[in-house]
Amino acid sequence: METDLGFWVSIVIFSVTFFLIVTEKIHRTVISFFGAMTMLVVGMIMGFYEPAQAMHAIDFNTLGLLAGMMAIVAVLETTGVFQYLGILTAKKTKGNPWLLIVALGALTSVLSMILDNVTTIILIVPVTIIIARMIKISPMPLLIALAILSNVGGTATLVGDPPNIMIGSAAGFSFNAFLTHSLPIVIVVWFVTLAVLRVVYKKEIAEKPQNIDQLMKMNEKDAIEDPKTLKIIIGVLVLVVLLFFVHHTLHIQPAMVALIGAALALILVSPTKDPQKVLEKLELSVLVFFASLFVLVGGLEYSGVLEKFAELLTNGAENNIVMTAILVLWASALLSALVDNIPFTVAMIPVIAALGASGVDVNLLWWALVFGVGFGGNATPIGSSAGVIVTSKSQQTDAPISFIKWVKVGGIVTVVGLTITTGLILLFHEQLGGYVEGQKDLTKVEGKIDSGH
Amino acid sequence: MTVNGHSLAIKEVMRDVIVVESGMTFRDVIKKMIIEKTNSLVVIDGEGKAIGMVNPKSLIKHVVPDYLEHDAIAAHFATEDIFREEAAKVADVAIEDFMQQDVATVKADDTLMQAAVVALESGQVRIPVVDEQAKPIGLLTRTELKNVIAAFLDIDEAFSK
Repeated sequence: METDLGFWVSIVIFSVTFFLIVTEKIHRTVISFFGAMTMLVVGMIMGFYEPAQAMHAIDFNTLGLLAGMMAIVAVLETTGVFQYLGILTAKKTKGNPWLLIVALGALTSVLSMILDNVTTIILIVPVTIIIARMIKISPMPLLIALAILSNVGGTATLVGDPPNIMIGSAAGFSFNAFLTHSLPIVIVVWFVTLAVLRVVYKKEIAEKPQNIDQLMKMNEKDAIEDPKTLKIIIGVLVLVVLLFFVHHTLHIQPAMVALIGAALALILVSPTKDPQKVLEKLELSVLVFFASLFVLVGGLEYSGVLEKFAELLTNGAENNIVMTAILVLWASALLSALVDNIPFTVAMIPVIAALGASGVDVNLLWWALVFGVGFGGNATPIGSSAGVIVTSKSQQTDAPISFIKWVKVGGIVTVVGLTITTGLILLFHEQLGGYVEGQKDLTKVEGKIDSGH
Repeated sequence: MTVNGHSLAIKEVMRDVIVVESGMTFRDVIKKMIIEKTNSLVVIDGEGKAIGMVNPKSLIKHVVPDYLEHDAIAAHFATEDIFREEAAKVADVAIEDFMQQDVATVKADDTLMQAAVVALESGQVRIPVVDEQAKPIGLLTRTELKNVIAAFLDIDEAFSK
């Protein structure tokens, strides 16, 4: 393959855009959209990229899954069920600070496995702060623990985290494949994380809560504003989860499951109303950002850069796939701690796919990427959306979270979690790297991002 | 234009404006509003130019913590103690930090229709009237605009106190 001018130009367009995204001087959606259009226009002029190829580069399974789940959550969040569950859980702990971390942490983790963890955090944090103030304990350990544990929990499932959606879509991993490969490791890391929190927050946990009677008097049922909508949307959600379990047997993509759920939610909850209000909650900015990244990376793919890059990596990777996986794990974790993990994931996917197309058995690398981007974001408050949200919401409490305060616990949690994961990869690389049921034959995808239309 | 003996122009119908200088604290401002029996103060800088406005909504918004602002369900569970503590926390905050900035204004020789459109577009219920140097000289509220409409409909009680 000759390396012509288009080859180098596409690298420059991608690198400049990537740099501008991670430095956050320009909004990520604006700059990635501009970068994508630049890649396409220049690609057309230089002859390496066509609009039809750009359309093909967009992973509509990822976008559809995100949009469908956003619509379901948009209906769910108005019902007050998050606040209900938060208060109910807190009451069960009788205000014990350590049990609050465990119980609310478990609640947000489980919710984050199915629902968008940003929404989960946004809706659980206000009641958490109120409860902490009521019983006069510091909300800071609780908030940091919620964000960290929900990030760990979200790593367990196909739909728990946007990078997982993209990786699952590209690798052809089903919902169940995540449950059998990612969930067991996440459970181990989750409990280890909890143990680290227990040690780091020893002093805060020893605080004696007050006004327990006020906490016990809170009536969680007051939070439920609309029981009828709640029943319907829970029914829809149960159906969606059941369909996720069998989507690969039914040969339907996860996006379709989410969109079926969204369609049902709209027709059952508000059939006569203009759904504009619900649809506004579909974060168009996020969806455009993702689509732009796909188009941008598609440019690299069609100009031959990714293939060349994979060629360079193939020898090393083939000879020692386990070491390569561990390298992918730590490198993606480090990058996710410092910058937005989405652009990195989108860029890594076609590289691994191209490696797979050249005959390397890459399943272990996919899982390493899942864990790296999933756990790495916990190291700093800016590494994950959940971290950014709790940090900003804590600013008006008596215990605002600072960068240092976060890293003191997040850094330890991340390094310990990654070390455990490294050990588990070394022990179970054969099981983790094995063929996954329902997965397409990667040698036939020719390094494409799409997951087989 | 004169209707029922009233000259209908902004400078004729506007009410007096109560101004406060920048640098005042939250506590001073709320006290002044109560003493003056007003719901709106126009904030001026050292040169007397209008730089912002304070109304009850700006006070409320500053007392309510960010994490509750969009969560009425969670706020249901916040006790009066929390409200009291939040109010105490902001007592010494300077007016610049909670006043409404980017206030829509009209000039004395603008038309009343223009003032009505500005009121609708900005969503502001009180529009400061300023001179050429941006110094406040009066205030238009919904009451004045309502009276103007009443006057156009020959309702005798218009502008009666």
